[in-house]
Amino acid sequence: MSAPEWSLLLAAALRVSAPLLLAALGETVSEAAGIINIGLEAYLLVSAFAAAVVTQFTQNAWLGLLAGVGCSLGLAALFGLLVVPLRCNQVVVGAAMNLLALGATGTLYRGIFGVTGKVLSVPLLPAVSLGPVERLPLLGGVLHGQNALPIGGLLIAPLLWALLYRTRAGLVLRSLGERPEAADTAGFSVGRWRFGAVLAGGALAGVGGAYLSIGDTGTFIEGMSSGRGFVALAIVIFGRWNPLGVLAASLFYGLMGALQFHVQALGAVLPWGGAIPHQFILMLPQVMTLVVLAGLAGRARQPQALGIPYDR
Amino acid sequence: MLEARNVRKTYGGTVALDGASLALEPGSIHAVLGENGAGKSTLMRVLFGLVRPEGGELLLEGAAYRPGSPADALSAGLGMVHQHFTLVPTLTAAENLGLGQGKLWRWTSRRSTNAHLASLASGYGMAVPPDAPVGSLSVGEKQRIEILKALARGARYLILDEPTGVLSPLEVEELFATLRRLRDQGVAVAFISHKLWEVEAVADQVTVLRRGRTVLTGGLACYSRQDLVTSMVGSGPGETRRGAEGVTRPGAPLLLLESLSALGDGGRPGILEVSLQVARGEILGVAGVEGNGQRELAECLVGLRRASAGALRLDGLDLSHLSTGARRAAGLAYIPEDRHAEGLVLPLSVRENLLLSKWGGVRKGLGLLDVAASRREAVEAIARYGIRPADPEMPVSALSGGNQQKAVVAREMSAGPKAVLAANPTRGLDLGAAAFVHSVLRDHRAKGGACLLVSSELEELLEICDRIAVMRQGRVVSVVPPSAGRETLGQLMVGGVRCH
Amino acid sequence: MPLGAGPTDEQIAGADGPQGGTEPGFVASPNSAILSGAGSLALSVGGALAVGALLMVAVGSHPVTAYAALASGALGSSYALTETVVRATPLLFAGLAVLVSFRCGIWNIGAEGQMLMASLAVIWAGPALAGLPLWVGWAAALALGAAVGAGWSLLAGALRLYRGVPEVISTLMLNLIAYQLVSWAVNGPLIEAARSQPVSNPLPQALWLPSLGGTTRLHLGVGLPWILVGLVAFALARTAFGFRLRAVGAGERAARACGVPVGGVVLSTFALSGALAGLAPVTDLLGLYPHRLSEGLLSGVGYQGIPVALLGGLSPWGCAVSALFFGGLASGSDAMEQMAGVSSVSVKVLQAVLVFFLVARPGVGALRQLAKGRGGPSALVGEGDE
Repeated sequence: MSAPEWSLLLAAALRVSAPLLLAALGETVSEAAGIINIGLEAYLLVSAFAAAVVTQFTQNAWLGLLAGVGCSLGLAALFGLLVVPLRCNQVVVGAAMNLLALGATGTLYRGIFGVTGKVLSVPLLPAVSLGPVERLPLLGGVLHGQNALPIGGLLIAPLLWALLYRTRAGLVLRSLGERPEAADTAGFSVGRWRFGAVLAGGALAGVGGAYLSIGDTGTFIEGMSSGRGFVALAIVIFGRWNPLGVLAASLFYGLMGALQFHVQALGAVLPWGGAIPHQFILMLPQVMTLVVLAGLAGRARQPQALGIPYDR
Repeated sequence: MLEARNVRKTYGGTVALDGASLALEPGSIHAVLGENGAGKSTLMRVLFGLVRPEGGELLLEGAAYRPGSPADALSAGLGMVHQHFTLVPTLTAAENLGLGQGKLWRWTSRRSTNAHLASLASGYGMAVPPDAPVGSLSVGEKQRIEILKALARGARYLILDEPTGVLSPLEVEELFATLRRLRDQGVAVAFISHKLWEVEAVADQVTVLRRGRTVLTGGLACYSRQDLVTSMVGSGPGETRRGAEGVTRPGAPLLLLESLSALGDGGRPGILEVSLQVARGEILGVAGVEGNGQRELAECLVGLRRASAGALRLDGLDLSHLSTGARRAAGLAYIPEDRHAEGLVLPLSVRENLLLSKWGGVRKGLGLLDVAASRREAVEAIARYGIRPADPEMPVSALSGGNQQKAVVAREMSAGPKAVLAANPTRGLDLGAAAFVHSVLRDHRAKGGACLLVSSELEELLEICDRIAVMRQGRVVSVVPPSAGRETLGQLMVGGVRCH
Repeated sequence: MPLGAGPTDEQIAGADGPQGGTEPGFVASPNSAILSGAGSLALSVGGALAVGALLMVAVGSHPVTAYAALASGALGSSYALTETVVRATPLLFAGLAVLVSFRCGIWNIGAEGQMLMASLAVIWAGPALAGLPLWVGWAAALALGAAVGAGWSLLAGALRLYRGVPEVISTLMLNLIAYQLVSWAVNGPLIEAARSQPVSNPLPQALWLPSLGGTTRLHLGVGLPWILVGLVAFALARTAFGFRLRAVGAGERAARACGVPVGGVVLSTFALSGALAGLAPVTDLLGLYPHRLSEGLLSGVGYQGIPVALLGGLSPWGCAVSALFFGGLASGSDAMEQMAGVSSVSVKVLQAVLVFFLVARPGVGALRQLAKGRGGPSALVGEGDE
């Protein structure tokens, strides 16, 4: 493969990974604080929808982004209310969040645009011009033409790492997921901090969801998150609850996704002649997540207080 | 100076503190001695704002001190190291310390966090590895971090709740060295202990509590060891009471423990080469300060904890490799210490709880339950053991503590066991219910059964046991008749003489 | 334990929270979600309908018109009634699958994947099964579906038991993997003869279950889940296995101390739950046109088992009622879409909001208690994870 081909492949990888990365980073914050949300899919879908609708009516993708994040935050507040002060089971509520998002976006979409099958087409977020960076050999090609969200995701990951691992606030968050009593005795309100972490997770996933509609495709399709929220959950585990690990895992998954297109387009063949069905590439991360969790390839240790309501 | 005067506290009907007094002076180490349930922990929790007293007064440097929460106590300059540490196992020592202070959102390099820990630790002469996750450190190191956490918040009064219970002998020495250095720097240290030699080794002052009341307090030099032991366990009529009536003559050994060893939690030695025999018609007591392997012993016998070495025989049958269910089928009954978690399935009914351990008796072919038969049995058991209310379909969670324990006892005894293992079976029960449990165990003995009674209540053991084994640090250090008396037992339990 | 720190009766009465112990992760017992009380049940349903009404207003429909259309679509004619029963069939299987695992303290949310794998296996084996005598062929197809569903579920069970992998995550991952496998199969080896759509060939006609009445979609298979409701109810109440299952779910440590082989019970429950889930798509494939497998065959039926089971109060008969309720919503929603212009997917909103109301009720009660000042600082909990 030539250098331009590599650039194209990696640029596609970045596009595939961006929503996963943002959602997984958000979930990393929330899981660090002990809250697991298997309804990550809901944030993505609701935000993608809200961003598309608002962009359609205002023709301003930035307002769309704002709307997407806003709706996602609202959903996160609902989730946080149910699982933090009301101490509801996080798994059940998360599963129901997915149903809620599918139903609400589907109903509103058909209510607003009808079921005529007319394809919605909205303006995209503008590409970011990175000046001299774009002249770098490989990286320039990869970043050229990308909008603010994937680039933002790449920058947020190390920032979150610094937050979690190099500030006192990060210590508080991580102790919430491991031993909430420690944060409590140090004088922090477990409830407020956990709620905050849920909101942060919702906001980041909202950015990722908006990318689906107004960052990448320029349209909205019912159920367009198509399982990305679950993949992001896997990425959090695969990245071992560390933002930098999550970054690496997302890029890896993005590469797999991009290769999948590549395979479909070029009919890539295995050395021994048969074609690799792209579905097998797509399921690789899930398989690897199970392998990692089972301790067959190094041990992934989840936060000990994950999923457990705090009661002192 | 921190003073507690005549503090009183009751829980439900139980008196926890009844005139407890204590004075902590800066620059001195104050030992608080007493048996299990003497009120030591409760008194410390009162000082730390975790428990609100019902009477008496607290004074801090002469002024009234009314802590409403641990936060108040912290800001008043108190620090407490609990038995269960509140450390985050995945964070390093330095990070655990950093949780307590500093700017929330500012970048802090690892080096500066570590330097903070190092300067604090060296100031008090303590060595703590700064970089390893706390979960991988030894108990002694964790404890040091807890102490540092308290000191970093500016604690001038440091309360340690049974700090040596979890430590190895070497770590105890290190802890004492630390405490002495703190004393020399003007900190007031209070520590709870059962062990006389520890008190003698490190304390300047001592307070002995018995049944919630301060029975002795003052400079350690003023009292002999005899004074301390006597005030701790009491003396007098209780001593001559012989529980074992002396009428039944124990028969052949029924339950045999042969050099049984098992690991404790977190890889600590749980029990070490325990050899005991319980004969037909005998109640063998197991005494010991809590946390010396009694729980591990019980779990190991019943098959909930794997034995690493040794054998267990019941009536000639080797149980060592059998499952819990098979051990029960072989004739072992188990009255666990924690009836809510281990004894009963709370949401299930009385009838279903009675059914839990009996698979042979009630099952018809095809794995079906014979509900009518189980109901008949339940009604019968409810009548025989006097369980109230007498409704077999009542969820067991709705019963009072005493009736819940009766349900456990009913289930265990109606299976017709050969040997009964009872772990603190009367804990939390009122006198009537406790007497009932004792009578059941005596009946079992009278019928030629064997009984192993693990208890932290000396009274209970002296009252009904034929022999008493004393456990310390996972080993059986001695087996004595009840006539040996409280004092001897107390000495054996707390290691009146040092032994490593 | 310090004096006086022992659990009080008051704490026990409210002892429905985390149970600690050896269960890997997500420790809170599903039984905390067991619900009762007809009044608050009605309140929850009413709340869900109210939120649904808001949604209808948002898309410019009149809630009364829409709900009337929904009701007539679910109950308004004999055809509507049969359609409600047809739509309730897979939901009831899913609800039962969720119910048995939740009752055992297992968070199996993998019904969707277990269903996909079961349908894949039956479509694959269909031509071979068609040669069998009628009843044998049906039975074999159902048994195969149940076995494959159980096997897929047992993967998660074994991962939990032997490797400590929380089943919440493993079942989700297995769902995604199953989905990709089905996608591969209907785009590749099992694609229809015409190769125009990513769907499989229909099952051989010899395997189709007979219709029970002219124009309706009722078929012989709709009776199956109802028989299973009875069987599951009987098993839970009257068999040793069902009793052990409930005991493990309600108090794992006590069950273990009483000699219940907890590991075996947990694995068997995973298998049972997977088998129940596996029957759902097989029944539909055998009984309903177009008898084909496609990527969108289930559209989330597996996940909807959670609301079905919760609304049914985690009891089999309750489940049957709630499956009918949700089946009615499903069939009525089509009418609502045609007559009132509210999309049929809005039903999912009702389901979700219903779940929120149902699971929040105990929490609201606890909060009220807290507000009354009963939950003061209790003992520092910390069971040996230093």
